[in-house]
Amino acid sequence: MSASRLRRAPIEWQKHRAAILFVLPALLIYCLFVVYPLASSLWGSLFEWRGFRMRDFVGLDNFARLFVDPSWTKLSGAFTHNVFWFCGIMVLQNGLGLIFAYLLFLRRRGTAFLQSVFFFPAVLSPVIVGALWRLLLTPDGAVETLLHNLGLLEGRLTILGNSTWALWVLVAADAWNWMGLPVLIFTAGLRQIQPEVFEAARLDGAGNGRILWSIALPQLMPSISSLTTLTFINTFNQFDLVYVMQGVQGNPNFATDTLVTYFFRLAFGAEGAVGITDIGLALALGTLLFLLLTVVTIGLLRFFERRTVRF
Amino acid sequence: MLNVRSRLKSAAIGVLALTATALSASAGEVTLWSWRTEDQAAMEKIFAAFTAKNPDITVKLQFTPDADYQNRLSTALRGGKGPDIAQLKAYGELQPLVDGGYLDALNDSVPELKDFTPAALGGSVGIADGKIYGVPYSTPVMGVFYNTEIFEKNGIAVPKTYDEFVAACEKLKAAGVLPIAAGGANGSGWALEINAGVVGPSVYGAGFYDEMISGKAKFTDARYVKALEKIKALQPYYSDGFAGVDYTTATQQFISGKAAMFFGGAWENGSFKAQNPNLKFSIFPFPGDKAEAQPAVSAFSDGSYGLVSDSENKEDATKVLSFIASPEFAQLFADNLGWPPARSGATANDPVLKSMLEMQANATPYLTLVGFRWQTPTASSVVQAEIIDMIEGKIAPEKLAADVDAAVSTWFKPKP
Repeated sequence: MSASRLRRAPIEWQKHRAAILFVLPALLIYCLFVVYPLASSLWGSLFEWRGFRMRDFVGLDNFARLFVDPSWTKLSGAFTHNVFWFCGIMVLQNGLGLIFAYLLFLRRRGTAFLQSVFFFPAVLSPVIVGALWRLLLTPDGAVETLLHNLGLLEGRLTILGNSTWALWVLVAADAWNWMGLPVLIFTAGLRQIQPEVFEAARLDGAGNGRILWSIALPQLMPSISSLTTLTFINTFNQFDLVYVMQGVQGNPNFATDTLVTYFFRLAFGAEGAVGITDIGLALALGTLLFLLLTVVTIGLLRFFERRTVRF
Repeated sequence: MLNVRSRLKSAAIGVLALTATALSASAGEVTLWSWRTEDQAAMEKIFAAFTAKNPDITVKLQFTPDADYQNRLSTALRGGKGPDIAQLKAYGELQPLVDGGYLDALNDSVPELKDFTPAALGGSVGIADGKIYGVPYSTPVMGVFYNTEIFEKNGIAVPKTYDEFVAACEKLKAAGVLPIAAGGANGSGWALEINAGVVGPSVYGAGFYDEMISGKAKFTDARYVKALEKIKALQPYYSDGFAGVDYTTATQQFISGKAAMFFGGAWENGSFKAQNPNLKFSIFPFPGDKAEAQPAVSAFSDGSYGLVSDSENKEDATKVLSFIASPEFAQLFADNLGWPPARSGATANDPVLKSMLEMQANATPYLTLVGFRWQTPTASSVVQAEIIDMIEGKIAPEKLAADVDAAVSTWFKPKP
């Protein structure tokens, strides 16, 4: 086996040379812009930094400092908000998206138009979406006027300055922004299921709800898998919306702070003072975030792989 | 193919020509970076006066908004692509640049610095070696800006005691005028920290700073807590929908004449005037419980201009710095910008500036910036984060004070 392989190896080289040549430019760019920065930030996280200069080797000291106060309060708070954000998006965006997609699927007419309506906000940059919702939600803004006219609110609307509810508002704005994505993916997924399966279920007397739960959902596993993974990566990298709507401090009182806004403050010195940075701590946090994303993403993909129904 | 080649050639020539002009431009041209985008017109006027006297040197001003400035400057300095002269933050926020060795000490090259008071220089001293790394330009005071027309119309005199101040707010509110423009939305915590700087000295007086630095007093001190309580007690008079109003909106409320008062620092003077030349306003120190001739106010060194070590044009840049340290610059600065210049002796031709210079007579360092913004977690980071919830009544003033104390205790060492 191995001998024959060895003999064939040069021929394989011949065969793959063209392929390698084609891959090489992309690989070089990938190394330059992904692998090298990752490696250098890993390396940097093992050193003490004063200002913007690397000083002494400190091993895992930066990682240890992340998990004690004063950093721990911020880190655990930010992590909690990221988890909350993920759950909120799963329910609000993907759950609702599934129901919308199923309704579109049942309707069968005018779906293309409605799909584009759902998808419209997704073509806007999160920065624009954030600015837009900030304007709508200011005191004296459009939402306040609407709520006044409906008699649901008295006085001023100050929900973005309210540390209890601000995060909910941000998650809702994010869900609104990306609602089109699950609708698009689920509609495509539903169309791929053989119509005979639905017909058979109907003949057996299953209602729409039953069909969604018992027939469609198990067969939509691949769609659910990719959406969950994407949602996880996006929510744990959440930065732009918070930055635009609440500032880099995750106002009010860090109620909307996320791991990446915390990273930004450590790296660029916005932790209550400009110019006082803690790059070692920032790089340690960045490294941990990268590891977390990688491990959980692989875990998620495997988890769904085992639950995919095949006919 | 030929076409592409000739294009490449001309592009290369273009690049060469560009570098050539860049090199030739640096002779006799001093680049200066600043974050004061609001002051661009005034600064150009000031430096035109310098070029009029020194025709062989032009000062090229480049502005970057405050939020991105520090990041841009530090990145450029690390890459050796910085300016000749950089506007620098003060106190603790200056130290990373000094530590990194990006700046030259100016003690010998700019002799005019000897004419500055220690308080004015305090913000630009390197803490490790005690040398001066920047020419300071202003020592702003903080106080209550007020709309003189609204005060007159409602028959209100400048309040001399805290009770009079509250009575004035009540009167304004009854007349349908917003008493104090202030808000805490979207990253406005720093502006509310300034409210603490405005109200604080009226409670804890001018001596409190030294007690704090020597370790005799802490943030949990009853006087500091009382100052926080006063800020909270004024909540009924802040902008309607306080938690949803941000700093920019609050300034607009004052500038447009909708609000009677605004808590702020001296730098607002120039930008208020620039945005509404017809606004009639002045400033008074926040009053204490008992009437005083000259109540204590917070003051600090706002920043300075420093010489970048990598500059290839140090001789000309030093001349520019000497000009910034001159009485002439102080006068131009006072006339064009209306903040108190760092160098004393300028004549105030602007009535608001005149009031500010009078307030300087009883100034105490702005506590959270001058004393406790040296290392993270800074006092400011806690105050800015929690003050909104404190005013809203979610956090007790004692708790905020305790949190600030706990944060700074991790690094602060008293200097007896």
